[in-house]
Amino acid sequence: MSDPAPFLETRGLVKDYPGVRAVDHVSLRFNEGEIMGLVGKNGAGKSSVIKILAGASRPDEGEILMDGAPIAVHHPHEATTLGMSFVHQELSVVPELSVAENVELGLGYPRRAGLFIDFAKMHAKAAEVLERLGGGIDPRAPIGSLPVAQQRLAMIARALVAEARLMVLDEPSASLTDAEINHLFTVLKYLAARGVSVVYVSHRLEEIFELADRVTVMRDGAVVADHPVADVDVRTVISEITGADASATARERRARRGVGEPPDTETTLRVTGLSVPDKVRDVSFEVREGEILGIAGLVGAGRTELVRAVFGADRRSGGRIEVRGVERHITDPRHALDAGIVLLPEDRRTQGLIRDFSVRRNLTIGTLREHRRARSLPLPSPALEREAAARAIEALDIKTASDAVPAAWLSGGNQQKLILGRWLESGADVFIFDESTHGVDVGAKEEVYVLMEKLAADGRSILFISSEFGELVGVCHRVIVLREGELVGEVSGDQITEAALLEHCYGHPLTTAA
Amino acid sequence: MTAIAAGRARDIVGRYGLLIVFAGLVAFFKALNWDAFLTADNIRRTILSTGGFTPLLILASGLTVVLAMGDFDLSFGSMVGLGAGAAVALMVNHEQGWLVALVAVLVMAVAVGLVNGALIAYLGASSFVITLAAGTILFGFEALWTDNRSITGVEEQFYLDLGKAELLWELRAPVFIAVGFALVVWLMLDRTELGRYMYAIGGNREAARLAGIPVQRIRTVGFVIVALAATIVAVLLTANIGGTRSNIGPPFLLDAYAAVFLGAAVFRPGQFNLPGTILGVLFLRVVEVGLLLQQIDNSWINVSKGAILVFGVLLSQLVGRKR
Repeated sequence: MSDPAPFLETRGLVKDYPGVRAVDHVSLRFNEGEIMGLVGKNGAGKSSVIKILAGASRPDEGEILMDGAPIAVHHPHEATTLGMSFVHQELSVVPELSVAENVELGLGYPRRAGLFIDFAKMHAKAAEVLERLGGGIDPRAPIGSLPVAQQRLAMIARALVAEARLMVLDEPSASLTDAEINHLFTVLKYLAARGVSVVYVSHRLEEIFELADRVTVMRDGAVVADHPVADVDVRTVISEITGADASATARERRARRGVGEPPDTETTLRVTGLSVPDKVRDVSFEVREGEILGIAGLVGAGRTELVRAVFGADRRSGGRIEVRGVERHITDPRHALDAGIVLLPEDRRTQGLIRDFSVRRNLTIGTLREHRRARSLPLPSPALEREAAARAIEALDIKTASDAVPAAWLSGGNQQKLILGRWLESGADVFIFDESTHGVDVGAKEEVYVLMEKLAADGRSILFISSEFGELVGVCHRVIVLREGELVGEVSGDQITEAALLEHCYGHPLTTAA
Repeated sequence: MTAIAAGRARDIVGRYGLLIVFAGLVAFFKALNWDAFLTADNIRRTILSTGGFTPLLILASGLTVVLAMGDFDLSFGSMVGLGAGAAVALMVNHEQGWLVALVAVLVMAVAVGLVNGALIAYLGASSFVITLAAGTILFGFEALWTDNRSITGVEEQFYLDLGKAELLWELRAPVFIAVGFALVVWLMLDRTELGRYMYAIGGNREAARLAGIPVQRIRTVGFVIVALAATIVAVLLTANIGGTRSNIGPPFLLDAYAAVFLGAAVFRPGQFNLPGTILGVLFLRVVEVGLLLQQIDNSWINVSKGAILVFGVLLSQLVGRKR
């Protein structure tokens, strides 16, 4: 890493949105063959900078230079032509098309007689590139039939076909297994060795430290730190991200917050023999008043399917659900809500948020009947709604310019709080958090944990699904583990360690201690 | 901070731009035709006409509800025809009283709405295809009922009064019924829990379901409202002319869509809203009457209405995009 000349740099980029400066004089250098880890809280400005590079939005001030000459990127297509490639968190693939068709989509398929697609050539080209990346992907398979990890690799292959010089990956490790992440890293290092400049955006700092040459920290729209990875440690970077010394490991958190054994209280929710066709087999569990119950498992273990069936969002083929000792026939989310069960769905954007609704309307939509002008008339009272919204915003410390702005304007963590805020005054007994901290920055995660603890202290029961086992270690009284749709283990109290959870997930003891 | 000021200016144009265009249009036609266009008489007889304004306002109001929920209804043009045929045939051919005719067609409307809703909301079929098919089926039933001929000679006085009686300011009953219907839909959409749920369903159907909103039931209500609107229109039109004729409903289909999409470009950009729909209806009426007063051929009026629909769709997307 002998400080090569930057092939791409930004100088003094500024981007204002109404009421917010999303990008504040950002100057970045992208060197050939270097892997840059870009970190920062949600709303720190990472995505806004990437959007400017990708031509999806235009800066109000500043310039972008490539090989020393200013360039203008007005359209995503121009970014591709200039050799920039982007792999977004939500993969933009056409599921029905083959891997090869997706890889070369928009890059100009090879043709025969200038008119017909030359499939043989197209497949050969894709196969050649995929070969280099490994992973054994069939270029003819419909991309939608592949696991996410392979889809993501295919999108990286696309960058290779496009001969990209800059490759930006936004949270690429989300929903990948450890083995898949390792393979991804090998591929990225291979790309860097070939002179590609890689930008790796992630909330997972361990990954940055394993992979990147340089770590760049953004906060409040500005670059606050930029150093070679070798010169810093995780603790320093975290304090740079949060702007204050904070956080520790999961075990430390557990000790610090005094998370102990499961409380000896009444059972609120009891699920017996629940099955979902092809997804969940005969799962039974219960959760008590004031208890935070974690649900662990690898991707595809059936965790989300289990809680969605409990909530009545998906059909179940069998099983009994009791709330406070009374059987409830739940076949629709309405029944679950009536029974006092609340779900914060896995994908807040597609399943939780009503993006065009204001913050206030998002907060009151679930409990609109509580905010009537008069008890017997189904007419919402704007005054009562405003008060309720104000209480939720205050209680959850939701960062928003006002309760009248569209919910789409909020950052990820605040959107998550918005959906929790919807149910805060519902009087529900059971709160299900499905991956509620996914894609949320370190500070906002801690806020979510504290909110769960508050709800539990208030006598509510919490079900917490998370793919980051450290979180479960940090906050749960008890954790149940699912594997391939079956309940395979349970650990509680101080027995909860990442190693213990992983052992159950993989079905055999790990050779190395945690 | 100039960026914010510019943003605010853009916001105002997005919100009220169509209102300015509308004022310009009125001024333009007035200049062309200043002794005939903006007279009280012309406003009463043509812009707010029983045959044009009334059906359009009622249908567009009903359509706003369905579109706000993210659904389509292409069947209401034929529903108007079927309601008209049924009501008139009952009174003239089968010698029933006005009450029987009214109740029968209203029940029929509810039934059609429920069937549409069941197929679309409960069985998950595409609203576009189902209501297109339903429209053809209803059109067929109308032809069976009326033998594809005009029927005249309704003699039920109360029924005729619904379409003809002058109430206030020399305006006829249908105008008040239409305005009343629009106001009720407006209040429902903007002031009731039902309306809020409808917009939530349009915003994110899955999120609405997970928030405990009875999505299927409410979507079905939407189709019932449109069918009822179509039937009210059928009654008012047939009451006004004392009978029915073929193709009485379908021409309103495109006009209603044009009015609602124009309306989505004003007041609450990008969102279907009833005040916008009302402005859209007036907009279309002014264009139609203005062009008629210029002795412009009917074909060209059709061309301009189609163009207005395209304009409305593009405009509502354009002004709604900044969110």
